[in-house]
Amino acid sequence: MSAVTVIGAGLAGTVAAARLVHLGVPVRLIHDRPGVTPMHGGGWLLGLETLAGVPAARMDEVLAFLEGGLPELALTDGPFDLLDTDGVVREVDVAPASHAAGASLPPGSAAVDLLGLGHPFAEMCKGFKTLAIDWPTWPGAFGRSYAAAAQRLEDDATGLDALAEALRAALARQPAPGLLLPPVLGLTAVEARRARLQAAVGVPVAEALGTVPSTPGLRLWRALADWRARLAPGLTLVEGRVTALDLKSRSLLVGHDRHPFDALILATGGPIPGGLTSAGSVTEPLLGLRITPELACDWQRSVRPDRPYDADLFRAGVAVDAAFRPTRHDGRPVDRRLFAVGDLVAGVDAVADRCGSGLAILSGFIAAEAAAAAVQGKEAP
Amino acid sequence: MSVLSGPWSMTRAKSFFYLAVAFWKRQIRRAVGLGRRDEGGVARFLENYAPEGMAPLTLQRELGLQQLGGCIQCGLCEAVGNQPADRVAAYSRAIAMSADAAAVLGAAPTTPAICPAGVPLQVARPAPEPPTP
Repeated sequence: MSAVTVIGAGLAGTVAAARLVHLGVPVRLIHDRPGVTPMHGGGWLLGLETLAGVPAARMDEVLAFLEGGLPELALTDGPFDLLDTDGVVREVDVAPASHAAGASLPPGSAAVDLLGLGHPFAEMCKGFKTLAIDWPTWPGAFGRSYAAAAQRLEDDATGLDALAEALRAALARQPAPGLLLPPVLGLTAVEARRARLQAAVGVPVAEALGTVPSTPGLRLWRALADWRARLAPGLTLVEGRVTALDLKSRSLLVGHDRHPFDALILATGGPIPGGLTSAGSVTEPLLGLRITPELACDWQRSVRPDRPYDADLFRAGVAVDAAFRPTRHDGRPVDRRLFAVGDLVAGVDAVADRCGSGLAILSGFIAAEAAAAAVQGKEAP
Repeated sequence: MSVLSGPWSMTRAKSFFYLAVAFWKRQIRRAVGLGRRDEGGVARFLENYAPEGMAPLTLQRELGLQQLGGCIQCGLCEAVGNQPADRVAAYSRAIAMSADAAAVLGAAPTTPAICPAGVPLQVARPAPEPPTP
């Protein structure tokens, strides 16, 4: 049996690859550079209302699979109302524990400005006191990003103790029953670090959600990479960009290397990573798959300052059937062993419908099962 | 119908005549080995545009340029380098379009593992100070 090939190693692609490996199907996962994964804010929107045709038990099964694959994120079921670093309250369905702790901070808690890092975060958090400290091991780091601060905590074993000491000193001057930090508590093992910090300062500590570019998104990116690494030898990772793809001969080129496949899952994303392009009209560049709704438009011209959000535009994508197989005009699949998942799928606006994460994991999971059935000869007629 | 504007005007007849002369002249020159038989369109393109830096891309170089321009502005590079992430982002965009890309792609890649997009961070390394006279 040849491998199923998955193109794209974001959330949808990695979930699909992991499910295939669990089903005993060898997988080749081709990935190039990060798409929208590093833009994930940390709050997971499942869109259970949008994906209403999916039985709740099925979604629970998918979520349990995801939580097992990404243990370092310590995903916690909500719903939660959580603040992001712009002070906006986000209602999310699932969140990593370090963010979810923000939902139970006591009234009168303080938001912490890390002077010189990011932007004045605390003044945007309505209902919170403001506490300001200098980043202890990186003083005067004006203009530095939260992601870089999180990386420095990873690299510097004494950094967390120094941060705890600075927070204790600030709390001695201005007491508060809880602390809300920007997302700076490292890029891995964040929950363990938050628990240590909480024990050291003596009050509940939580992190705000991220805004683009996002530390929680980088944590997700690394957690997905760790998950992929654990899937070897069932999963073969190929780095590079697909330069040619032929469905008839079931083979593709990455650089100069030819890779055959038995089934193919496209998880190439929407417009940002280039899974969809617009040069006069919205197109799927690898295979020229059918797009619905058909839009003769150009993204750069369509998204204008006076109309920054064009719903039709963001609903455009590859038309698929219930097994996430791209379809022709008559509704029949283009190929019974071709699948499209995640942001590539038509009809759903991941932002407006609040279902970006849910669509990615569910479509990846279901398409993987259909692809496995196809290559194992268990496909329903 | 005027002789000057009809379908078989003198002007049109002269055009066909010149075209026929050019065609047969080219055929004769090629037959006796005086033409540029071995030089394809690419050679003539290069003759015109290579001095301006518009050489055709190899696949390897094209992939390298995509890598150069791949900065996602996550800011992680600020943790390891002295340059602000904005500078890396700006140079990443600008250099992928410029002739300087050859220098960056030709140098030994020093991309630290920290960059999720694999941008060679030397794109934003400040240029050395010019020697003082």
